[in-house]
Amino acid sequence: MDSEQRVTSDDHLVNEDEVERWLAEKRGEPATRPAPPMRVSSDPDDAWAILREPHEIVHAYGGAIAWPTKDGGVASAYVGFAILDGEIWSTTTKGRGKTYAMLRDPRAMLVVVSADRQRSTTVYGRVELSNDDRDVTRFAIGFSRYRGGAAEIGPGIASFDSPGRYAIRFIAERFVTRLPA
Amino acid sequence: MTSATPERRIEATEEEVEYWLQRKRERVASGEKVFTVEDLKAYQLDEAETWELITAGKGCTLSWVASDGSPGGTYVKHAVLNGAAYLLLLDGDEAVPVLRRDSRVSVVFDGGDGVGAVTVRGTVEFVDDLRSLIRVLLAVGRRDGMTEEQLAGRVRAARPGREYVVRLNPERFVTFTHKKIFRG
Repeated sequence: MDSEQRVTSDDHLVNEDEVERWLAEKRGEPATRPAPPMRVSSDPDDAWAILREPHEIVHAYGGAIAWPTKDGGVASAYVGFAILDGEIWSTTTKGRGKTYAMLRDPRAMLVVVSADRQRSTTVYGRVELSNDDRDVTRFAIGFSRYRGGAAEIGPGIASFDSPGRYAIRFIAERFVTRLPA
Repeated sequence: MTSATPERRIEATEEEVEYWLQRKRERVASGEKVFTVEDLKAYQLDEAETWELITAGKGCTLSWVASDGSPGGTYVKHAVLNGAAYLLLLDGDEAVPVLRRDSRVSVVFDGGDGVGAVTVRGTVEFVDDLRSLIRVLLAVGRRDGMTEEQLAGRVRAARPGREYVVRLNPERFVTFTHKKIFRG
C-alpha cells in the first residue's frame, strides 16, 4: 500500500473546538444519564451464537486467546479456531512462548467478536495441548473446512505438517457475553 | 460441558483423519517441501503498518491478570490520538478495578481476514479527565460510522466517572499478517 494513503491516527476525527463545546455543556450537568446500551449475559447460548458465526461468515474465524505468563503477567495473541464436535480447538507449535506457558499453566481466556463488532463473548476455561498426530490432523481438517470449505482442506492441512505442532483443546468453563441492550 | 451445544457442528470423521494422516506421511516421506507457519518473523508488519492496523480496527481485545493470576479479558473500543492508543472501558467492566490494582495488559488488535493482527504488551494508565473521554468518544463514534446526531446523543449520554479512558503504554509489539500465511 502507498505509505501516503496510510491512516495511522484518529486525530483528524476530532475537532478541538467541538471538544471545548462539549466540555462546556457537560461540565454543568449532573451525572444522571442512562448507562450505555449494553448488557452482560452469562448464558452459554448467547456465547455460542457468536462462536458459531465463523461457520457462516468466513471472514470471522478467529479470536484473541490470553494466558498467564511466568512473571505473573498476561500475554495474548490472535488465533484461528474451529469448533469440533461442540468443542473449541486451536493450535500452537513448539518453540513459542505461548506453548510453554500453556503447558505450565492451563488457565486461558478466549474473546471472540461478532462480525458486526456489536457483540462479543469472553470464554473462560483451560487448555489441553496434544501433540498426537491424529488430534492435530483432526483440528487441521476442521479448521480448513471451517475457514474455506472442503475444497481448501488440502493446502490447509499441509500448513500444519511441521513437527512440534500441538492441537489446543479449549475447555470452556464460563462465558461472559456483551450484547446490545 | 453446558447444555448449550452448537447447532452446526464441524466434524472430522475417523476416515478423514486417517486419509489425511496417510497423505501427510506420504508428503513427509517424499521430502516434499510444504509451506508451514513456524517462523512468524517473515510475516511481521513494519511500524507504519502496525499503527495503520491499530487505527483501522473498530475495537481490540484487552487482557489483564486477575488477582488469582488467571487471565481476564474483554472486547473494547479504542482510538489513536496524539500518537497513543486510548481504550474505552465501561462502568461495571471487571477490568476497571483489576487494572487499577495491576496495570499490566496484553491487547490484540485484529485487522481482519487477510490483513493481520498486532499484540501489544505493556501497561495502561487511567486518564480520568472529561476532555479525554469526549475526544475518545468522538473518534470512536466517527470511526464506527455514527451520524452526527447519533454521536451527539452518545457524547451527551456519557458519564464521567462511569466510563473510563485508559492510555496504552506499549512495551512490546508482536505483529503478523496472516494473508501471507494462508496464501489467500
